[in-house]
Amino acid sequence: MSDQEQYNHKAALIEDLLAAPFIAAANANSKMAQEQVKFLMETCFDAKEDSFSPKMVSLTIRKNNQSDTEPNELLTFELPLITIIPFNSLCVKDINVKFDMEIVSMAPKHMADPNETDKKNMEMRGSVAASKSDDSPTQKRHQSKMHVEITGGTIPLPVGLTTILKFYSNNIQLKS
Amino acid sequence: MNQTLQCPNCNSEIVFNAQALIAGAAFGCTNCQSQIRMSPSSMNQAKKVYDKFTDLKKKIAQK
Repeated sequence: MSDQEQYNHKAALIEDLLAAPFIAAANANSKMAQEQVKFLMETCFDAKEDSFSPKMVSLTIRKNNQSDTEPNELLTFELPLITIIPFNSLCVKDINVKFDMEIVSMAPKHMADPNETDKKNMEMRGSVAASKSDDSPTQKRHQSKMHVEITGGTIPLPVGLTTILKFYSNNIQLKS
Repeated sequence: MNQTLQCPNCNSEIVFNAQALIAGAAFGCTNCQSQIRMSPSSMNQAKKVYDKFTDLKKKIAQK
């Protein structure tokens, strides 16, 4: 295999090259979500044999009676801990990828008709463009740089979970 | 971050801050003037989870 052939072989399909940082960010996002779900299950739920039940916290409510003669009533109620703590989902909110791409090869895709060379069916291979650094007069290094900027952020909890939480908070029962 | 909770007395919304609630603050309903407060028996449990979640957020942010 010639040097050029080896170089071409190392190059990736440009769609793969473009997708790679986004796939990595999506995987990171998924790992964060998994870690948070694990945390929620461990801290806010009690595991039973085949189910999970929410850990409850107790709150008191002092009812304000309008008349001065009646004392204010003190009652307790319970809420799932998960409804009190302001949980939100951490996620990758923004991703900016910047790099120079070098098209290494362009060849027709494998088609039924080998003579067909429609531009739409061209397979392009590329790599992150290397830049020469002149830090040493005797040794010239080739560096490929891809600048990836990721911004994390928070998003509301999934609708399914908020619905369950709403159901709980709408069904508070007071105990004397 | 402020959150809301349905008032168990009149079903209006009570706005509260979780950190303050866990620390023992009381929050009132603007409609019926009832006041909610976390029971002392639950404060420790809630505080532990709140602190753990804050740590987790920091840990994830550092990765």
